Amino acid sequence: MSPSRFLIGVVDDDPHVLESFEELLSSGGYRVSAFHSGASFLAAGGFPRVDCLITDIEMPVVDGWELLRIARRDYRDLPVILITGIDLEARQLLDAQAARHVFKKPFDGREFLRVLDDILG
Amino acid sequence: MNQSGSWVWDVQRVAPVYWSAEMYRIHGRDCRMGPPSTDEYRTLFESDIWASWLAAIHEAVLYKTELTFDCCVLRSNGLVRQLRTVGRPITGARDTVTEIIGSTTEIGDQAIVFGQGATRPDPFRQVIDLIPALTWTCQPEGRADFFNRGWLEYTGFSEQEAFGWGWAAAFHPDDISEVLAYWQTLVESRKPGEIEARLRRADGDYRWFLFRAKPLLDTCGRVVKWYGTNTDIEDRKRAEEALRESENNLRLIFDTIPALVCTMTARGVLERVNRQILDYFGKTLEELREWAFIGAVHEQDLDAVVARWRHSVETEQPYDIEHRIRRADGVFQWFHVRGHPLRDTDGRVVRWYILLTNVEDRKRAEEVVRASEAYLRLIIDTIPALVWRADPLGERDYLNARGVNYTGKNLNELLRFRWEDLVHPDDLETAAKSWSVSVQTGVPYNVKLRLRDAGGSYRWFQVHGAPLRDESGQIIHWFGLDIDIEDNCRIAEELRQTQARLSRATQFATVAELSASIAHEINQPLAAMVANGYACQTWLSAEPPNIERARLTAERMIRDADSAAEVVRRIRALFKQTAPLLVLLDMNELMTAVLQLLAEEIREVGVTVETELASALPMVEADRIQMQQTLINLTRNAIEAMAGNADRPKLLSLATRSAGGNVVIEIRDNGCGVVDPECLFDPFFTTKESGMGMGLSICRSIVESHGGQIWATPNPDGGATFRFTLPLQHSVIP
Repeated sequence: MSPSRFLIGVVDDDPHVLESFEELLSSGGYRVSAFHSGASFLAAGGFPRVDCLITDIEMPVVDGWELLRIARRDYRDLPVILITGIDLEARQLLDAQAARHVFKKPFDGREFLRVLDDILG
Repeated sequence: MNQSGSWVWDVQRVAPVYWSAEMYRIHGRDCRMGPPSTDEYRTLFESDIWASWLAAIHEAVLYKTELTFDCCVLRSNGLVRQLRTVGRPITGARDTVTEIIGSTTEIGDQAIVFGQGATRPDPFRQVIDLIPALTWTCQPEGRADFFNRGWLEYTGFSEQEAFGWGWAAAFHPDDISEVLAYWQTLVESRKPGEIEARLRRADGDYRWFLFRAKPLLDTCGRVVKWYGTNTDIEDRKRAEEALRESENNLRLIFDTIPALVCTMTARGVLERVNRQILDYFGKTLEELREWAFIGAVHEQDLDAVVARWRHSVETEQPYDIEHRIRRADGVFQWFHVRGHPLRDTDGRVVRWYILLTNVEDRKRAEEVVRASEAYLRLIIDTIPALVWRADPLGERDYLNARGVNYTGKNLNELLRFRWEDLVHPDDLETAAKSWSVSVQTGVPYNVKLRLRDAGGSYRWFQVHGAPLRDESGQIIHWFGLDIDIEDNCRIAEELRQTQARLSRATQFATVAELSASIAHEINQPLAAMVANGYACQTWLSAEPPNIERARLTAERMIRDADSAAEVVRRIRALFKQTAPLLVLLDMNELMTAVLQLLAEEIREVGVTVETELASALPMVEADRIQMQQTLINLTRNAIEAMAGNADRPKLLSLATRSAGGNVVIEIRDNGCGVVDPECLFDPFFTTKESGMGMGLSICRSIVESHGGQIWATPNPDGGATFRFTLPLQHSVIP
């Protein structure tokens, strides 16, 4: 399987989780650029480079909501997938409408790749 | 060397038409100017001489006799020259005298000597001389032939000067023509008459006299003699003059004062009005008499005006009212109308004097002031604070409406009850001391105190007082503002209580909080494991299989699983610390203890608690901490379920009983009820926005670990009842 032309940005502050997402996406044929914080993603100039952003919500300083806000403001067409370890409150679910999809940990890897394929397909 | 000048007098023009050169010289007049006009001629003589000259001319014309006239003239060189003038009348057509031709001779200082008239010792003459009036007689043709002593003394004339027509010189120059003309008409008509004129007194002053003349007629109706008196009417004349002047002044005032003035009859009929009234209304006096019917008074005021005016006319009491009056252009303006009756000596009303003062500007200003005052009062009464004023001695003398509402007392009551009576007894001493210091030294007053409201309960207020001083720095008033800070105080109090509760909460950490933390801890390694698991599967099913990557991900899965196991171990360790420590427990006692722990919460939320604790409830063997956690959890759930009880009281019922070898604990609320009693106790099931849904799940595990059961049922009348059982004999599941 040849690597995809799509580059996926992944952000999660848990190194094991980040690693596993990277692995999952690689197995699905995507090129992956992994970041352990929202701030490092921004610092590396991640937004203009990636074709899709997958980010955990609950992170210190620059969290998933902030990245989503920036994406919606400056990178209107960039698809964003949110991942959360907690149940979102009603208001947060509304905010999450700005993302293409929200996955609650733990999630089905097959479903995850299918959604990503649909988005980038 | 006496020189004579000749002249011709034109009777019609009352001036000479010809003067010889000598005449110009005598009178010192430039001959190029021609003979003098009447006015110029007059200036050549003293005024009395002029009058005498006219009288002489008059006589000569009337009787066609020669005239002889002696007089002095003042020449421009300051010398006085005595002149003798003689003339002869020239009769023209219709036998009337048109001209007099004569000559005038300077006779130097030569005095003309007249013979003194003989005085007869006549008793009547004495009487006539002594009566306090001027009397005289004339011959039928008008020549005077007698003057009493009063006349002669008054004028200072001698008989010789006065006789004939000499008397005319005693008249005021302005009056003489008229007097002579009138005298002539009397003489011609032979009828009595009278005329007023000024007569010169010997000292040169003129006084007004009434001249009365009456002819004595013979049987044929011919005049035998004229008799006359002169009565001094100077005082009357002056009074008349003063009156006229005063009337003029009044009229002037009447017509120029910046007000509308009118008079009305005693019956109330319009009599006279000043010019301003006519101008203002743009109507005639006749129209204005119908003032009540021509829309002059604003229709909204008319009834009151008519009633008041009628009342004044009937009671003769002064009239005073303000109302609107229509101007000529149709605009209504406010007037202050005052009427005063003028009474005669018997006290009867003769007429009414009415003064109408335009007060439109004042009314407007008043309106503005009233509006602004009302606005200020509105502000003062609606600002959310108590506003007060105190005198320099510190006594309150004003309180705004909010203050009256709050205290339930008006100012008079406050003065009676004393302001201090409203202050909470605990705050009174500080407040009173501080206020007294402020009043004595003028420093602003600033205290916090509790004030009693109308219902008798106290609320906290921040009280500010500041002095208002005059230019000299004297305090005129104190102004104060009491701001209700009860809510702030309560919030602060609540914050303090919340902090206390939090510290207490940590002692029996809430299960829900704990479970949320556990869930997050476990989810992380699980998520990684699942992702890695799927990746591993993908690598293996790839064509060809990527064994290397598969093995790497498999290793990671093991690592993730270890992480998850570690979390579980940590949780178990947590539970180990609170491992069931079975003791004999009185559930009634525990229930009471839990209610005490939650007492504040219950009171704040406003929940009514009913307990129905079975007496002589058997003891159960249970872990006190875990049972306490279970009871707290269930009770809290019940309280939270009633949070939305807006229309009904929050009622929490707690009951214990023993039944069938079990102790049954029942927690009942009338809150929102349960939707799905079956799933209630499943982990992660929650109907609350916050919380992981672990609470009831943990409760169940605790109860079940004690060999009991837990379940929930909806109440028929709303709310839910949670029950759990604890067996009297059981084996604890570790």
